[in-house]
Amino acid sequence: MSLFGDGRCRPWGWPVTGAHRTGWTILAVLGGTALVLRAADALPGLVSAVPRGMHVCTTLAEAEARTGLHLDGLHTALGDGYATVDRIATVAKPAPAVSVTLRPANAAHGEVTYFRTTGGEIPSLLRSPLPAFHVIEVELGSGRTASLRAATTDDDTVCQDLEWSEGRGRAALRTHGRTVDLLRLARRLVEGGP
Amino acid sequence: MGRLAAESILHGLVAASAVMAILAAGGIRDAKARLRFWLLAIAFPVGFTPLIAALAPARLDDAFRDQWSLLSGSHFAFLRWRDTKVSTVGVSILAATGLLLYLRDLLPFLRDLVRSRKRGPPLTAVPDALARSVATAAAALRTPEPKLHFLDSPHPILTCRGWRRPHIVTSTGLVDRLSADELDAALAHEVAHARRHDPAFGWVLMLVRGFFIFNPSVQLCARAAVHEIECRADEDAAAANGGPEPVLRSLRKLAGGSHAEPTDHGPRLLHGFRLAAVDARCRSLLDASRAGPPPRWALPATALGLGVILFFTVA
Repeated sequence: MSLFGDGRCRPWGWPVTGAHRTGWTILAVLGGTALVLRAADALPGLVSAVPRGMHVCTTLAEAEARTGLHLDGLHTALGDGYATVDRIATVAKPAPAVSVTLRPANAAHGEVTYFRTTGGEIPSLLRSPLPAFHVIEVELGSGRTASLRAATTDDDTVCQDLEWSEGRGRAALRTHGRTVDLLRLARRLVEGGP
Repeated sequence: MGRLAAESILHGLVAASAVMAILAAGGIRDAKARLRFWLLAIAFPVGFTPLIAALAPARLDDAFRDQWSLLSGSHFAFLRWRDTKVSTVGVSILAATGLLLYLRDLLPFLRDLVRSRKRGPPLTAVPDALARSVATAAAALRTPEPKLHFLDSPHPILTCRGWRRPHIVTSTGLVDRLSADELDAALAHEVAHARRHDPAFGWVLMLVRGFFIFNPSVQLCARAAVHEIECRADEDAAAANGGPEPVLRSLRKLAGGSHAEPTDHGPRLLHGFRLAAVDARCRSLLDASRAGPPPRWALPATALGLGVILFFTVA
C-alpha cells in the first residue's frame, strides 16, 4: 500500500499532487537519513557503555593528544604500587578532561582513578557525583590544600575523593582504599607532578 | 589523507542511499531528472567532502564530534580487531570493492578502445537510406547532423564516438538485422548521444571514477548515471520517432532477446547482465512515457538537505 497511492494522502484524505509527493518524499528520506546516522552513532555507546562525548584511549599519549594535558609523569609520581593503567577516558566538553584508572600492583593498595581537567570542574561524565557526608580541608604540602570528601556507596563501601587546584584547572583522585594511601599519592602527584 | 578518503566513502554511501530512496519513493521516472540526481550523489564525495574539509577544519575537533555531529567515526575508534580498528578494516574492504567495480568497467572499456584503434573492418559507402535516417533524426532533435561512418562488417555495430566532434559508427550487420523503423530509432538514439556530447561526458565520468577509484559509491553512481544517459537517449529517440515502440524493439533485438544466445560469444553471465540492463531501459522508457519531470526545486532541496546532513557527518 502506498502512502500517496491514489493521489490522496491516506490518513487525512488531502489531495496530493506530484510536487507534494516529491516534497514529502525528500523530507522523509532526509529526515530518516539523519535519524539513522544519529542512531548508528549511539550504537558504540550502547554496546560498550561509553556515553556520547567520552573517548576511551589505549595509551596515555593518545589521551595527551586529545586533551592537551601532560600525563607522562603519572607513573613516576605514583610509584611502583600502581603499575598498570586499566582504563583511560577523555572528554572534550565543557573543558578537556581525562580520567586514568590505575590498577594496584599488589593487594595492599586499592584501585585509584586520577582525574584532571583544564576547566573549573571535573565533568560528571568522567567522575560520577559523590553525595558527601564528610568534607574536610587537608594540607598537601607546597602550601597547597585539597578537599577530601567521603561517601558510602550502594555496596556499603566508603568512596573517597581528594580534589585540588592544578594551575588553572583541577585534579582529583578517587579510591575505595585507605585515606592514608590517597593522601600519599596526592602529595607525590603535587610534588612530582605529572 | 586516509581520514579524508574514509569521509569521502562515508559521504558517498549516505548520499547514494538517500538519492536512491528519493528516486524510488518519489516516483521520479524522468531520465534527465534521474541523471541529475545521480550526478548530485557523485558530487558530494567528489567535491563537497574535500571542500568542507578545507573550509571547516573545526569539524574534526572532539567538541564538534561530540556535541554537534550526527555521526562521528571517532565514536567507533575503540572497536578493535587484533589491534586494528574495525573502522579501518571496513574502509579497506569498501576501498577494495571500489577498485573491483572500477576494473569491472575499465577492462572492457580498454579492450574496446584497443580494438577500435586497430585496423577495423573497411569503410564503405553510406547507404542513402541511412544518411536520410540520420538527417531526419537530427532535424527532429534540432541538432547538426553528425558524421556517419559505415563499416563492412557482419557484426551489428552501432556506437557514437568522438570527444569534440561526435560521429556515429554503424555496420552492414546492423542494417541486415533491424527493420527500417527500428533502424531509424537506433540511429536517432545515437544522434541523441551526439547532440548532448555524451561520449565526452562518458570520458569525464571515467576520469572521475579513476581519481576516486577507492570509493564504491562513486563507481556505482557513475554506472547509474551512464544508465540514465542511455535512458535519456532512448527517450529522445522515442520522441524523434513518434513513440517508444520502435526503440523498444530495436533494443531487444540488438540485445539478443530474452531467449536468444549471447551475441558476442562472451561469458553467459555478462550476457545476462546486459539483458537485465536492456530490460531496465525498456521499463524506464515505458515509465518515462507516463510520468512527468519532478518539480524544479526538488534537486536544490535535496542538495541543501544532504549538504547539511553530510556537514554533520564526520569520519
